[in-house]
Amino acid sequence: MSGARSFDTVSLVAGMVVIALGGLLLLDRLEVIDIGFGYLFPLLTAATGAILLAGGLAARPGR
Amino acid sequence: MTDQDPTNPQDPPAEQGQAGQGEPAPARAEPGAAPDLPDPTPRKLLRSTGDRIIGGVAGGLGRYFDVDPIIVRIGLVALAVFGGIGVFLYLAALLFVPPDDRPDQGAAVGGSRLATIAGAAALGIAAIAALGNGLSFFDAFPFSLVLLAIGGGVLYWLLRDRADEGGAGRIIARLALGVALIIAAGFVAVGAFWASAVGGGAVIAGLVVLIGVLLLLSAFRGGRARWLAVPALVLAVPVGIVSAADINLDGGYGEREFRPTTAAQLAPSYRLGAGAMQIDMRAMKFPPGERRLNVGMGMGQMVLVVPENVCVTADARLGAGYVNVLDRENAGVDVDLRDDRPSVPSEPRLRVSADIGMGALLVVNRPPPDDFEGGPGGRGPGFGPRDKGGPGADGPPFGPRAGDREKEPPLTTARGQAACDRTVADADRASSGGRR
Repeated sequence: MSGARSFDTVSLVAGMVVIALGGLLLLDRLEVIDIGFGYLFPLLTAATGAILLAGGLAARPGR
Repeated sequence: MTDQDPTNPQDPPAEQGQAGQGEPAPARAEPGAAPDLPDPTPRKLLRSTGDRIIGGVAGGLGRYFDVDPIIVRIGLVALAVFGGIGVFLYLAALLFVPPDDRPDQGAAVGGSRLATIAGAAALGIAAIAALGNGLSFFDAFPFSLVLLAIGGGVLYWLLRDRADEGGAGRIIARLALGVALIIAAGFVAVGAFWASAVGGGAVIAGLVVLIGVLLLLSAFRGGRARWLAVPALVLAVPVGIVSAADINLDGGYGEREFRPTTAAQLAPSYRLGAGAMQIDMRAMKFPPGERRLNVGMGMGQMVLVVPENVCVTADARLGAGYVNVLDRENAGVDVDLRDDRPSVPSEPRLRVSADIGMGALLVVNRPPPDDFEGGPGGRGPGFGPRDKGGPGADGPPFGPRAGDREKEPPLTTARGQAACDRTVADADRASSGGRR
């Protein structure tokens, strides 16, 4: 049945990644931690990569 | 007569029939066929529906010219990146070259063909204006982005009814929508950047967290809100840049110039949100001993012009940009320049503490000329060294134009550079004399 709602792993991964990313930025803005460019670029790259990887793996045939 | 007559319509080679429907006749001859006979069906340039990534243009060109389509794709991408003409050519091919499975469809995409062509031309011109070398990047970029967004939106509106029909109309409509969405995302990112820089970064970071929560919740409802990851990243990137560079636009905007003539007129600290600030202290007579000066800027260029006899030490931090303190320089991201030379009470010394988000800090003996890229009255942010090779020294917007370096005198004089060394030498001499 199309009415059954399924669990979406990509959204789960993306949600966790976005929450972690936003949380770190929030902590920086509240001056709890200090994020420099040396951390920012890997952080953004990793976040984007994790979301893309989750989407790519979920889109493989058989999933 | 041979076994197979290629001119006989009742007995055509297999490739002829395919060519008539879009497949070109291969050059090789079948065994037993008449050799070197001209192909009676002229080759026709058609977009490939079997070998395509977007619209089959590269596949069709590769097949037509009998070269690997990858080579054609590399060429088109190179033309798109270097000047933008590749985008225009691709859109033109989408419009005028029919696909190989619809030989009778022709190049027309409907009654709005003229508007479509005009829209595609506008996109191409805007791309060339944005990426071309003939216009200043900063001058043309905002206008071109607006033109691209409007052109993309208009094109999609014109072709939206044909989006389901397939062919060129569908592809161009989707491309136009993509361009419009990318440009819109750019404006959202710029807005988030400015909002963060004026103190709203925590709010936007909280919004990113909220989007993450919505994404998590959507995971249990079939993942219908996957697309929220894109706006989350669009918001997170500018907040991250503002955070990493520690950009604070408090302090106003514009150009500021100060010329203190006495020690009393020199304030202990100066701050500007964005723009350019120049503090010309050459008319000042610095008393012996150390004088502290704190300067801060969110984005832009800070120029401190000091007398030649004053030793300058600095504790400068830039999120991203270029710092030059009497020819001691550093550039890049997370830039720090610290200089803790020993103090000599009998000599004047200026100790500069600088905190700049993105931009440049110059401590020099001569003010930059008006045509200096990024200087007060200049055009760009001035992230690059001026008088020597180094990061950004090759041209605008991050450095001077090539010919300017030779005719301009150096901003830091030899006397200015030697001031600190002399004070250090005096200190050594004084200490050694004291020991005797």
